[in-house]
Amino acid sequence: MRAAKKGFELAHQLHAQTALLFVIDTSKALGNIEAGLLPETALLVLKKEAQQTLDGLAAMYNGDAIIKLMPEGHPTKDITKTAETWGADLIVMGTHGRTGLSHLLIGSVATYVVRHSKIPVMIVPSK
Amino acid sequence: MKKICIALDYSPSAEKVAETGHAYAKALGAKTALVHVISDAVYYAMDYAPFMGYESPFNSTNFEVVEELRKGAEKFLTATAEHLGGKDISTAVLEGDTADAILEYAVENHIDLLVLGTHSHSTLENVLMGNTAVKVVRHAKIPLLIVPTRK
Repeated sequence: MRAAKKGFELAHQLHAQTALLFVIDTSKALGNIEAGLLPETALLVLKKEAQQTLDGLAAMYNGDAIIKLMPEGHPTKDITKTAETWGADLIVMGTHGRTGLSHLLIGSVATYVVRHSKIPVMIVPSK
Repeated sequence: MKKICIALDYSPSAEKVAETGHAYAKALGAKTALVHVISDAVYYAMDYAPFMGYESPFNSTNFEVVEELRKGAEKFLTATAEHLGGKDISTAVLEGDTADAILEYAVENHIDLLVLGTHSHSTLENVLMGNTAVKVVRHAKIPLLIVPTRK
């Protein structure tokens, strides 16, 4: 949320066009066969959640002209890929502020993006 | 955003980092601070007895060497400020661990945005040695602008 706020502020000050990006993590769309939830249905649920999140953010910051990008794939790789495809000049993203051991084990999306992006990345810490 | 701090090292990629950071500062009407970190004197020191008639100029009591490093860094930052050619550019040479020194400076000087570059993209290197940008990303409490310098 802080990242979105900061990003909108910045885009406004720089007179830049804004796109909201939400990567639909396909690895989470597993479904639950026993409960009768198919992977396809699970993916639909994720897509709907993504759409609602972006609609909510766009509404909060009154952006009719805001472009919403919702690629399906992997959260790390598809951030840089989608930003580049769209022709972004800057990626703004948050961090969950994981520290210590979990950082070593999980790594973080922000770390991946910082290491692999070809365009500048603005990191907005969550706290 | 009122104050933007740009951290620079001696690599040629510093030019891109400085120019990108300064462009943002200008567009946002913010003041620019250029910083460079030199390691603590102890890092350069080699305290051992002369061997084969060789005596290292780097020892922990030789402050002249550190002073030279500091002067070199100041020159570098002044040259960068002139290259950018804007007003409201301040410079500071910091000492200590690179990431820690930058983070500390940002807190003490109420920096709103930290700009730094990444130039190592070798996975092995990142795993083994870590990397300043990544360390700053993990510990910063203010927004960061990371400028990739890979071609």
